[in-house]
Amino acid sequence: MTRILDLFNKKITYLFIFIAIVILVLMLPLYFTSAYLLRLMVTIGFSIITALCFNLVIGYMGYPSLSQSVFYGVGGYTMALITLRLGVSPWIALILSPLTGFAIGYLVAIPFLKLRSMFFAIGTLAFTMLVNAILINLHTITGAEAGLRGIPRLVKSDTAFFYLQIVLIILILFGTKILVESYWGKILVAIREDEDLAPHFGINTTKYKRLTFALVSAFTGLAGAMFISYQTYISSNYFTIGSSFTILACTVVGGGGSLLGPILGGLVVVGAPELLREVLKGMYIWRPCFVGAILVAVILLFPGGIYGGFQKLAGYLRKWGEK
Amino acid sequence: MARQEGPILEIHDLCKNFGGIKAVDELSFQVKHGEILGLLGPNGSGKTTIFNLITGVYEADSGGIRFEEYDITNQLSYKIALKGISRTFQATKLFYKQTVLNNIVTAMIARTRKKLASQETFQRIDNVLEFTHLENVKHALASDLTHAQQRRLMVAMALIEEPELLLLDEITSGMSGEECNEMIEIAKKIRDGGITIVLIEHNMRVAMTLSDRILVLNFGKKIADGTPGEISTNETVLEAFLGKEE
Repeated sequence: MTRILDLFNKKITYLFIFIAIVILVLMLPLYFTSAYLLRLMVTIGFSIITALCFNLVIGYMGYPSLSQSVFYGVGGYTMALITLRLGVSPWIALILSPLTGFAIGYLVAIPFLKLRSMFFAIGTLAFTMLVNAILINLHTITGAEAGLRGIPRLVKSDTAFFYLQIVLIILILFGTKILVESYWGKILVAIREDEDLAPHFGINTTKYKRLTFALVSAFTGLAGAMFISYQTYISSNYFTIGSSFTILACTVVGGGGSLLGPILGGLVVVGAPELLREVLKGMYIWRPCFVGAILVAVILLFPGGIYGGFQKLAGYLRKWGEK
Repeated sequence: MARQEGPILEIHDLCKNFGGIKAVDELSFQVKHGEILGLLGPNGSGKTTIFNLITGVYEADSGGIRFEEYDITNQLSYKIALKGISRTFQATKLFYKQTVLNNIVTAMIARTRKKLASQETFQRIDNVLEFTHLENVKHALASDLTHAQQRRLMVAMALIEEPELLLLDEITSGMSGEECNEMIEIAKKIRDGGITIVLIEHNMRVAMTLSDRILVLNFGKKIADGTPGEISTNETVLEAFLGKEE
């Protein structure tokens, strides 16, 4: 009984900390009134959303995907083409974007999830390059690098977009938490740990891999549609291998396979270089190197990412306290 | 109870080639309900290949495998497991970064799903942990266990699925005499619980003590089939293991 009470108290404490952080984040636009900072927060938010989605594939399932930007693009082009060509409301396009993301994600999963580890990474990398080339060649439809302009916004102000993002982040966080604590999450971890062993316990690994990938693609599509509506502009340049790599970096640097890792990763990988813009004045071209350097340092020093590093530190402190 | 009369597992004319090597060569045998069948043979005689064919790891080139009323030839591993066949592996295979408890939970997840948090499930887990003498290490990482504990955890994971047929691949390999005895007792109790067992064993003492019937293989072919007493005096078997006297 005492153990159950302890667990309950712990959960209540975490919930209060979470609510406090959310309130603090919601108050940010009141203090950071500059348009640049608000835009930066929204940009970081989109990276966090995509990293949170692909954390299920990369962190929990152990498949190092480099196709994130493709599904971001699927959602983005769904939003752009439906609103511009058919004149449909962006809210309807927003509802359709996860459906196209899910369908294409499932189709992509069928051949690509037969590959494993680095072969999967190389396969999805090649797929992203292929899709990017298709987007450029179909310029009459996609607008290629020049892009398509005048995509309607879901909400008018940047602040409203920021709040919309927070709602989506909270939904994805809770959705991920429920999923990873359910039997589905345990199956994903089993696939990551030993995919050949799992079927001997009756686990249909193919089904769960495909469904997880499609589900993740659906939410990435939703984020992509929101992003394009926010920008009011779409170009094939948004959906390159570089964008996929940034999302992968957010997951790995933050700590794949943990709930909060991708949030920390998004803040560091996307946020820190922007905030260092002033510090690195005149050294703009070196900013990508900064991302690379962080990635190398975290992989070498904290294999579990920043979140894993915090956990290790907490462990040391606990042991030190006990002594 | 009518089902108990026929064989639980029936293998007929099974063939598996790897390149030019015949790993399993037109092999046929049956396993009766409730018995312990020992599979013996020198290294490379095709014993583990048979387990891999039964559990869908390899596809058979020809022949068939029947489990109770189901034809399971070349079916997917997860479907075979769900029909009631569990196995252990020659080289220990576990979810090493997970705790003992998590390993057990993962092993039962496909059958239990939403009932995972029920009192009945907790009781089942406790029973299996106690049965395999792992109750004191249930929160330890699988990678931190001793070799014997890891082998017992494999058995525990196979048992939690509540199989009708259990395939044990060299469960005592690398164990001390005392640890072997412990495993023999566990295997006997499993059989007494009504689970049919097919075991591959290199340790003759273990094979002879445990098996009701022994099937001996050489170059993928059956060379003998009988009780442990009959097998121990069979000249073809002695020749296969010890070589021919000049």
